[in-house]
Amino acid sequence: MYDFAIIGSGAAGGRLAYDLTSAGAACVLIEAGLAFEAATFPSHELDYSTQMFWRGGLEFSADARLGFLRGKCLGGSTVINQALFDRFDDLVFDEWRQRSGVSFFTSAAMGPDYDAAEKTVEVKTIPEKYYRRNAKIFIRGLEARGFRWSPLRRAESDCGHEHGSDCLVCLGGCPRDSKQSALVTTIRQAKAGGLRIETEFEVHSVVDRRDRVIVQGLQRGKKVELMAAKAVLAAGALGSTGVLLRSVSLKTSPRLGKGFCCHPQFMTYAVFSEPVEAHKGPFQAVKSDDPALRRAGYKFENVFAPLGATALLLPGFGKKHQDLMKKYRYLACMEVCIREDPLGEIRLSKQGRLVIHKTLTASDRRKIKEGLRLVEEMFHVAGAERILPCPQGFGLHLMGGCAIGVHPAASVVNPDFQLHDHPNIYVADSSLFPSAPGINPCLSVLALSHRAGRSILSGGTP
Amino acid sequence: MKTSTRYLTRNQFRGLNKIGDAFIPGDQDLPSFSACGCARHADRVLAYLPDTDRQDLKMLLALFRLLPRPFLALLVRFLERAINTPGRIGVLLRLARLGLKGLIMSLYYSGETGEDYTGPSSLAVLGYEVRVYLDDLRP
Repeated sequence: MYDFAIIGSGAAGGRLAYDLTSAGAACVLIEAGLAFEAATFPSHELDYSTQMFWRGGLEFSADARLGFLRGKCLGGSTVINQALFDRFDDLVFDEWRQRSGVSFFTSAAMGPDYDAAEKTVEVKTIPEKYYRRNAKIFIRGLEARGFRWSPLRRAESDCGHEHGSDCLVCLGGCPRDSKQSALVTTIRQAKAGGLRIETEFEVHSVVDRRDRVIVQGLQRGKKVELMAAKAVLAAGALGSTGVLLRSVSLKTSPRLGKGFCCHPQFMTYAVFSEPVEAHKGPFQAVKSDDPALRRAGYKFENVFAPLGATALLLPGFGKKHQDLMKKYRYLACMEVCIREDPLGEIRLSKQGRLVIHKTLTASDRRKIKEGLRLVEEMFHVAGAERILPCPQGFGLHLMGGCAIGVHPAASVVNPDFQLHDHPNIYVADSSLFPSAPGINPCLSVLALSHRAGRSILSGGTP
Repeated sequence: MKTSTRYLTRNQFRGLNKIGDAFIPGDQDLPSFSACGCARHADRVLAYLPDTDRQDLKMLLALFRLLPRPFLALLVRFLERAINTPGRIGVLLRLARLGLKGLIMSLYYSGETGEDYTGPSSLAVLGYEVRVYLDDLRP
């Protein structure tokens, strides 16, 4: 029997595996997806989008207005994301403290956890000399509107920018192992320390027997059970909430599944007369960083997408769509990403499938409309010939569903990261978030999971 | 020329090519969806879809095999314009659009072609090439 069964191998699962294994605990890390490494990442968009993401690429909200992307591979979404590393600010922690009653939600109290999280990864910014035209257009647009910007802090070691590496490739895993994913940082170290890893193991439920837990699921099509003293859920908002919805009663956890948020984001492409080559080089170097935008509840991001994804996102079909695609090298892209009201809900259908209800409120829609208007203005200033808003919205930061808090009636998990009614089951990932932070969450997930690890090892609040 | 795959029967394969041509009819630079032969790689997508999604898609493709091409062109136009349709019908239309467009665009713009196709790939026409430098890491 293991001391801990850790379900999910992304930022949170990797960090917990590292912390708990380092402390001498016998741990098993369970991942639903395949195990890849630098030499075996699928090199083709067609293959990585189907093999490394849940549901063969995209999941959708119940109304199909938002698509969700989440990694399904050893290392989870840290393998396929952009590794953007920002700390949360007081705006987030003040609101979370108020919503949850959890006293450690302050910048000062979380500071040591952020420090510890940053010690296991290399964090850099991309030197200005490597900024490509897509970034320069973005900066020009922001400055023309009087918005501040700053370089993005990225968890990467050596991307080979001087040799012309194209970071778009790394959306399917970084073949240089530069991206500081859980795979090459925490999991690698935990494995050296004795961590057991089970892949292609989709957890169905966790049974709490009070003296132990039983993790039940399917591994490569066969029913499997694992026993551990305690289970730690680290499978993200959809994964962890889904497992708990199949494991515990809503009578004892009435808030389970509620408060789902995802930073809905809407991309806009623009056609320029000269090549932009946004697919070449480092493609996400800078961000909007303006207090007025923070207060307004949205931000702008300087993104881009590979060929297949761009073809899906661009509106239209037929010869007009083909003509647009022939302009791929002339396209720039920005997106507006909002800090939305946390009113989404994750449920199970009668067939046991996740159903994600995510309806945007009037306030959310106002932010999107205002943000898209500003994106259009910024593209005009930068000299765009044609502006193409994408009709499909996305959520890449999946959060909430198992909110942390003091009161069982208003939360799912207590400040010691245990389910209120099941002390052998812990949750330690983005599903804990009481609301949307409006900031890239990866670093804060690492910090929170490190805090959870400290709490678990000390038998209570660290 | 390949006319079926592990997951697609001959009729479903033909249906995929027909609806693919409605999305990507081809022009003087780019081949049509069916002409480039990318449908033979459909299993690389279909193998990883949940069973229910794959069955729904296969049913649609079999239906498209029976429908006339002008009707499919109208259907694609309708799906593109129905993005904001409310209610249950709207959900089905959006899912159909995303599922079909996602499959067709990802296959076509993968640059993969059929064994009998000799023209330039979509990647070559668009000038798309991405790579990560690895030479400095080799021993």
